[in-house]
Amino acid sequence: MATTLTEEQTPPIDAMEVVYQRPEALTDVPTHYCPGCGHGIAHRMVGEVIDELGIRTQTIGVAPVGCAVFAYNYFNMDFIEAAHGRAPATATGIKRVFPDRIVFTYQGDGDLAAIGTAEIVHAAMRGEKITVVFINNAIYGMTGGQMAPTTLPGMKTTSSPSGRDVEATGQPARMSELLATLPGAAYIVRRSLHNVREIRKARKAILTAFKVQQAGLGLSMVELLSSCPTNWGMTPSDAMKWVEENMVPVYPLGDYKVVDAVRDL
Amino acid sequence: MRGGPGLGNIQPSQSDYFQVTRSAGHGDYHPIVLAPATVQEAIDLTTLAFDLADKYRHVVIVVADGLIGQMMEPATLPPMRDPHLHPDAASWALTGAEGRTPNVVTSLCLGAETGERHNKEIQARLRVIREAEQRATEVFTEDAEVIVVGYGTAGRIAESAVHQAREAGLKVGLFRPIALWPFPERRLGALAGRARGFLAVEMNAGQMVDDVRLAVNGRAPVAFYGRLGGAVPMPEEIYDAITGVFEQVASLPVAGD
Repeated sequence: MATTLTEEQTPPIDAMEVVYQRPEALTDVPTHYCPGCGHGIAHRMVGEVIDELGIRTQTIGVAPVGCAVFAYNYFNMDFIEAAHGRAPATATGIKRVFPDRIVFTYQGDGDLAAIGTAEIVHAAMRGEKITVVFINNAIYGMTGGQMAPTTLPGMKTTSSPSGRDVEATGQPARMSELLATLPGAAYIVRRSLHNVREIRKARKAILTAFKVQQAGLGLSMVELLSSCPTNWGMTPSDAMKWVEENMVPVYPLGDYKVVDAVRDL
Repeated sequence: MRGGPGLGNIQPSQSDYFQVTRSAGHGDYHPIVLAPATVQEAIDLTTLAFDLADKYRHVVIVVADGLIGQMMEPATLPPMRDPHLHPDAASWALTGAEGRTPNVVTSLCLGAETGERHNKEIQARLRVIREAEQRATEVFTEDAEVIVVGYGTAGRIAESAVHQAREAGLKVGLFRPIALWPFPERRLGALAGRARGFLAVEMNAGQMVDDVRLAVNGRAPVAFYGRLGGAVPMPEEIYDAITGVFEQVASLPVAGD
């Protein structure tokens, strides 16, 4: 049973050691994300990494269209809102004007793997020196849980109520595998947010992805498998289990492209 | 601009005047639209376009027809300029939030109230642009009884026809809009008080002619001559259209009579 300190037993605030606080790279604004959504975890990790690298005032972020459309309210740095799927194109323009700044996009699967497929593919083909944080929850979240190119075979969504029929709609889009085939991509990995161990690995990958950009090696992307309890119709904890049991087999975790120079970072 | 509709062809056309001046995207606004008639103008107006875009933080379109895009002719490049930030850029540009609060660039306005407020700000900016950025060039308009109005390649060909007509003793002038939006309505409206007739010449079925009629506002007849689908008019065709307008206005009472 947990013990509760009485008021007399609680040490004064200035005597306490701060062991956990909001990163400077995040604003003090409550997010609009649903309980159990992976965006909060991913935002925090990106913020921590930016603080760790000391690049907050040198970084420009690009927000997607989708649930993370308001990312610019939560990141404490210069930010631009791109049109649907166009974040890599917008990031390209900013990075080429300011090659010494750090430019990252933060995109969901509806943004990156559907309407913006051409933009991310060509940004990788061109070897744009940008970092992409790609949140894959296998569904269109903001618009109401419709089937996405990333939806699992047989998965029920509001627009595939009988489950995704792969004969009619194809197989899930594996963007990391696809982008890893392109010479301009320097670092393409897939991680997951379904438990603490995987979250720690994801944080390390995000750190590496930003370092890849600092070293000018090419496009870096971290795909993060994430949950959508609201549109999946599950509790947050069940949704995390669902990621592990159903998404990871379709989207194997791992390093899909790591150029040799990344090992020296 | 190329011949349309749909895939159309790659011949010169002015078929997209409405599209660029009325709706460059969804939203209730006009972009600034600049239309070159020569390769030199294409260079100069492109430089101007970037400066105007920075000054007003507004979309600027340089709209050339396919002839300008495929033509070679002598031109002088302006001196190279270092890329520089607009003096006001610190308040909005994304340069990294060093020593200041972060800048955010977004056109997302989810609420109707904020959306309307944002649109009113844009409309206020458009009124300033409409006052300040009307651009046109003129030939022989001082004493012209008939004024030909054309932009881009059509305007350039019309100038040849105007010279031919002057040699034939016809008091005709050319008004060539360089800005299509804001349309140079102020100057054209002033000319409408003096000229007896207008002829709009376009490489389309009649689009800019609507703006000419709005500027003239019923004070003189406005005729139209156009070629479609990638066809480019010869100066002789326009010359014939000019003489047609002279015949039309000959029967009209002279203003002030």
